[in-house]
Amino acid sequence: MKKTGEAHKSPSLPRLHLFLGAGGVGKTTLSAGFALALAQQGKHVGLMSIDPAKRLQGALGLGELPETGALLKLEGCSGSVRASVLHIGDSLKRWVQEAGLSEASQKKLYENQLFRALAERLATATDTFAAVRMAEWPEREAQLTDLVVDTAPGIHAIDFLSKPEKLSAFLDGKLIDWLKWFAQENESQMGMIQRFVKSGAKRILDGLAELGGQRFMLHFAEFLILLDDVFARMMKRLNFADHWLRSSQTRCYVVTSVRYDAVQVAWELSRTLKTLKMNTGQVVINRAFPEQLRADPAFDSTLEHMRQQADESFFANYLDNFIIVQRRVQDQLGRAAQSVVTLPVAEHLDAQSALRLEDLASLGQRILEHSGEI
Amino acid sequence: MNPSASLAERIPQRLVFFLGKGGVGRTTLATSFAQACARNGQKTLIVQWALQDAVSTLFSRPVAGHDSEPIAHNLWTMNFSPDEAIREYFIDHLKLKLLYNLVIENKHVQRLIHAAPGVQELFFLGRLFWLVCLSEEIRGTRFDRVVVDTQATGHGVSLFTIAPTIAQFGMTGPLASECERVSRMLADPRLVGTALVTLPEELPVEETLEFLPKLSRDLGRAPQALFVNRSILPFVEKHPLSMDSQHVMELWKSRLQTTDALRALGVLHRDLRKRQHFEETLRQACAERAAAMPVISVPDIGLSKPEAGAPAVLQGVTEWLLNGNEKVLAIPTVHMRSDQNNSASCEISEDQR
Repeated sequence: MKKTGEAHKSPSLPRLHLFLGAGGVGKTTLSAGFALALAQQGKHVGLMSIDPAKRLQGALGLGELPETGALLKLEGCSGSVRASVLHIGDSLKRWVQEAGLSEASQKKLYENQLFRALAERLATATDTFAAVRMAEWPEREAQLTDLVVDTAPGIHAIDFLSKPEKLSAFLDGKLIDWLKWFAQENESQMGMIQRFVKSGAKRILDGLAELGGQRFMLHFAEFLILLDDVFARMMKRLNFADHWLRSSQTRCYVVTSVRYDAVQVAWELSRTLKTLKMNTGQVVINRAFPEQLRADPAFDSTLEHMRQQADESFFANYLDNFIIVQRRVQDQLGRAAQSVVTLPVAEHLDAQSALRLEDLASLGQRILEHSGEI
Repeated sequence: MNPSASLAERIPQRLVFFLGKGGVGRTTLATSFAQACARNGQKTLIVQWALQDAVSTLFSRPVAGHDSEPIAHNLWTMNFSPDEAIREYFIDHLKLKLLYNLVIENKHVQRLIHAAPGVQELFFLGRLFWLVCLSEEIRGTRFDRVVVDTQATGHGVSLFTIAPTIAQFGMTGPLASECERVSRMLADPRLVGTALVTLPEELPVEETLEFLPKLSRDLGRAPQALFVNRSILPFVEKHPLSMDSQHVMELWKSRLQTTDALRALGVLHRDLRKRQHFEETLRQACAERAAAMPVISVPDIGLSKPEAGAPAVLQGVTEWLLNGNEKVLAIPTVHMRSDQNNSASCEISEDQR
């Protein structure tokens, strides 16, 4: 493995593609399709998914996608896709091993209640650590040209984008140093200034100890000391993630479906991306009404006829409803002067039968074509 | 099926968590349930923990903050703020103003609070404890119902395991007693109930079936109810949906002019039918695993009122919850669509954005 930080200086940064949107709009499916379409262009792509449905994991040919990712078997394709699922607990354990902790320290760490909580029970803290995991990709994959990231649903994606600062603000903070002093109590190694600062810090630590107890403070300090190297690497990666996210090459795809709540989330996300000074990219309306049906000259009269039939009125009403909501959704997104790409409900993607990679790829291809990047 | 007769009996607890992933309509269901309680004469508070209060706008009220604001008769809402809650806890509750100013407000401690997973969740639960167990004594205000609208994982940590997790850290002092009392509160089945919200779609159904045993394990008991939002089953009982897409295509074939259009129609029909399929799958799995838990279909109100905005959908769902109102299922048989190309009718009003 390359030394941490080396990839960061690389002049040709892999390109980052982020898929954002409300829950249930198809982000995971579209990001997988997009990754496959890029691979067909000869790109070497990383895919980082959150919570893929079993059918999608099946389609990717992997029962349980590992945290480190697995290369997909793609026939007749010059590029490649390494697909992974975010499992922060597993990543954290790997990071500890990679930081080169002595066996004794590892054992101590695994017995530390805070670490166990963090690794096992707090493993769902995806927002906080997703950026760290993301920044690892160029280090681990020298060949990587593109990384496709499926983010947490809704406005939580904003956490993912803003957390690098939050987490690094803490990892970089003085509290960690203070707690280390607290645990070590070895004043002879300190200089004058440190001793002076410590007297101020001591009041804070005493205050914290009053709240949580001395024992907890020692647990916490031990945890921080053991993870010192792991945190140092995390810091580097977070800084890199921050830089990468804000690169002019980074693209955001805001996905919505034909649902009022989803389009509102898309609207909010686009607005927030602007304030974060990120590339707002494209809006994708997924699972839209098929144009071919609307385009049929006899569609309106047929629909009118079906509304009168007892057996068909519900389905006719459903079609009516679909068209009305879609028109509103398009109006709203159009007014925001967004670049909008519309993907119709596609049978093979939503059927109860197995998903096929080529169908996924053709979906990704549509987004790629529209983004003008071919 | 009339779900309402005993909704209050099915979910009798004072503190009710509505759980479900983003996009399933959790806020709509939590708010409708709260509104139904309020209409039954109970003083009800909706507690949100979100970037922005999404409930007040449904009642054309200004956005609420950390303090509860009235939004309708017997109905209040608030949007939890961790910073506010932490301040209240130290200054008002522990009476440790000096400690708060010196320690908690310290820049570095603030960074810890904002970065460490679990801290904010603990104070969220602490605030709920205050609302259901202390506010009557301290402020003389009592809510008959506190309805919580939030993800099962707050900002990353499962709300129902946070207290036992933190308790393992060997804490003593006030934070330890805080953990202890919120754990006690959550463990009380007469005080705390949960309701799940899901959709009749592939991933939400998968996730719900995975979440059910996890919730039962974390909380020690099954949820009081499972709501299937955007359901078509109540409609299908009234207006049968042909289960045979081939048959539907035959009907349309003689009229439509292009085969592309016909193929697209078949796709849409199968897509709609799938909602029925997923709900039936879910119901069957639930009957096998959690037979006692009622599964309540909440009709997709938009199907009878496509122009309806979020407030109208909310009213429809509330009426359905209160008395299984058949009116919400009425499909308008003849639509006047002369205004179809008039974009003015297609505006989303400003307050919905």
